Amino acid sequence: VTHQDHLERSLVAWFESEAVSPAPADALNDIVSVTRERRPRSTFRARLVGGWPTDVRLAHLPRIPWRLVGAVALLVLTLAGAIYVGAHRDLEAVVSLPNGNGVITYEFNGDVYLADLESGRSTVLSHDPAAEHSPAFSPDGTLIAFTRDREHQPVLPADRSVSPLVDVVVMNADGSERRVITRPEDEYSGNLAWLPGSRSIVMSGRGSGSASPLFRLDASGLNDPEDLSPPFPENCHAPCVFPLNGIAPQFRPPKGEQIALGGFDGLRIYDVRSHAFTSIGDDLLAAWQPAWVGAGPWSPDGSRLALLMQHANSPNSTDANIGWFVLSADGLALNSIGGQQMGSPVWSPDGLSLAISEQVSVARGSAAYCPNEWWIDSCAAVMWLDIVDAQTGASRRLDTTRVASSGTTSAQVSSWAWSPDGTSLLVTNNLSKKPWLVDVVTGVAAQLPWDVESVPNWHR
Amino acid sequence: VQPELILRARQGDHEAFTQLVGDALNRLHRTARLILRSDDLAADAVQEALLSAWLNIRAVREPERFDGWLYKLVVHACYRQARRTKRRTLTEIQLSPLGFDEVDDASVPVADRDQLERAFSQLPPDHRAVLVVRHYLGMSEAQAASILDIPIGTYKSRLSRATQAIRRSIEMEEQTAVLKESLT
Repeated sequence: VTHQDHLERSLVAWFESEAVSPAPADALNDIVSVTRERRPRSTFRARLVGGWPTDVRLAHLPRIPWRLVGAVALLVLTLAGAIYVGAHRDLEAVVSLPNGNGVITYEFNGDVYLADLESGRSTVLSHDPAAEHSPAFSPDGTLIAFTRDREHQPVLPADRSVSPLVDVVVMNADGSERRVITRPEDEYSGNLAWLPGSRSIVMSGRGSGSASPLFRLDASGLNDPEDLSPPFPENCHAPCVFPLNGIAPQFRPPKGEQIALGGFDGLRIYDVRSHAFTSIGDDLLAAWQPAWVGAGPWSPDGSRLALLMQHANSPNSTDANIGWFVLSADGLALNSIGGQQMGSPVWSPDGLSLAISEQVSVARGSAAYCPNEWWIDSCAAVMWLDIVDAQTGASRRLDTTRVASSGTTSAQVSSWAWSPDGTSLLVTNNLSKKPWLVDVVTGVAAQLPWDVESVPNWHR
Repeated sequence: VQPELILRARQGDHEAFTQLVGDALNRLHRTARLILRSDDLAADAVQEALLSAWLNIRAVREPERFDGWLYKLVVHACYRQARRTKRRTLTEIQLSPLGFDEVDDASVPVADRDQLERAFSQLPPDHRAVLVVRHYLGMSEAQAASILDIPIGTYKSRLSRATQAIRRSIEMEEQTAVLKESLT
């Protein structure tokens, strides 16, 4: 008996316990009174043949597949309409964007899409019965890799702490030459990440939380996977490594041969070639008396590292006690950049600033943008974005009021990604599937027309 | 379902329809209640669905599919209720978890039920519906896809997403608890 079965049984049993109460006593009376005043509608066939007992006489006649006929007619009309519109409309003008640039790939409904922000065109690149997730361009922009749920595995995982198995699929950026590069005997889970400056992919092996092994996969699929897992250092108090909000360990650009690891003992750099650990910034970090350090993303050139620290004298993990910092790779300079634990900061392409989230706690029903309505289960916070100078820590708030809303309902900003030219951020929220493009200087925001279910990934 | 009752209802026999409805009412209401998380909304959705069933009873050709047809009407009525409710402020809706005090089901530990309740409530109505159809009604893939009015591929994908969302929510809760424990 697996945990899979346990979870499935739990769901079934919980549904049964939830659904135990009978329908309201007067429900049947209401329905009877409402329906008694009406008569069933006549069908098209019944009107033609008057009061015939149609199910007796017409049972011998072949049925006309009206639905099929209707569907074919609709298809023909749609095609004709599309041809007409295509010939008379300039598709280039479909989307008007303040800073339209670049191409993005994203996931929707288990398929992989490619969209051009300038033309407003979106194309499905991979359509498979198995769900496909989180496509990402390779560093040189020529390939797209994504994960695909492995078939013939339980719907729910055998162990709650273990993610489902996935295969890794690689294709050219135009969707051609799609190939699975994982072997049937391999067991990978979670999201993928491209190694900086390479055609290799990092995947987590089957494991639990921070103990998951790391593997480098050759995008060509020709070479065997390489185990990059750092050994746990001596005297490391578990959990030794903090995966921040599920973000995979960050490999240092430009070569991708070093991983930053946080923990209770400070910060370490692990070299995947020499298998050596190096401590950096111990003196500077000690001055802040951190209870623990979490490693965040490297700057694009690898010269600085964002990290999260909690003050030792503040044992509670409240946002007031936790902050983001930038440490130079030589460990000689440390700057506070504010922010909170929720959401990792994202470096601008030029490495001069970071986009970081600011959380505002709002109780449900206490503000106009956080209504007291039943379908809002977790409207306790609204996130804003700050653009922070990596050197000075100076920040300015980006007005994401429109972005963090879906109609009249308040939402939370859930991801943000810089455009390749550094002028815009592509922002998603947790209520609407359509992302926003926000000008980082003017704050002007435009909603894109596509439904997106992953963090959109820009073509570099 | 008795085929003769359906045939009589098709010919406008209101008593036969009432008997059909009475047999199915509780299970339909429970299904709607799981999807909408509200007794009042569930009652409205079921009434809307059964009115539609009565008005369109003559479209039923195969009595053995009558049950599936009713569930389909209820699921779609639930979607409409959820959309309508989003557009207005409701103060009469029950916000507390439903049913926990009514049954002591030893097969689901209280902690698991609380986790499931929180994770399930965060799902959108269409994801709740796919889980209810699969795990409460116990429908096959083809039946479930038919009830939800979506292709089987979409059904599988949606079921996978809904279960992943629940799993992620539970995992996050457990990881947060472990981290807090280790920090204190």
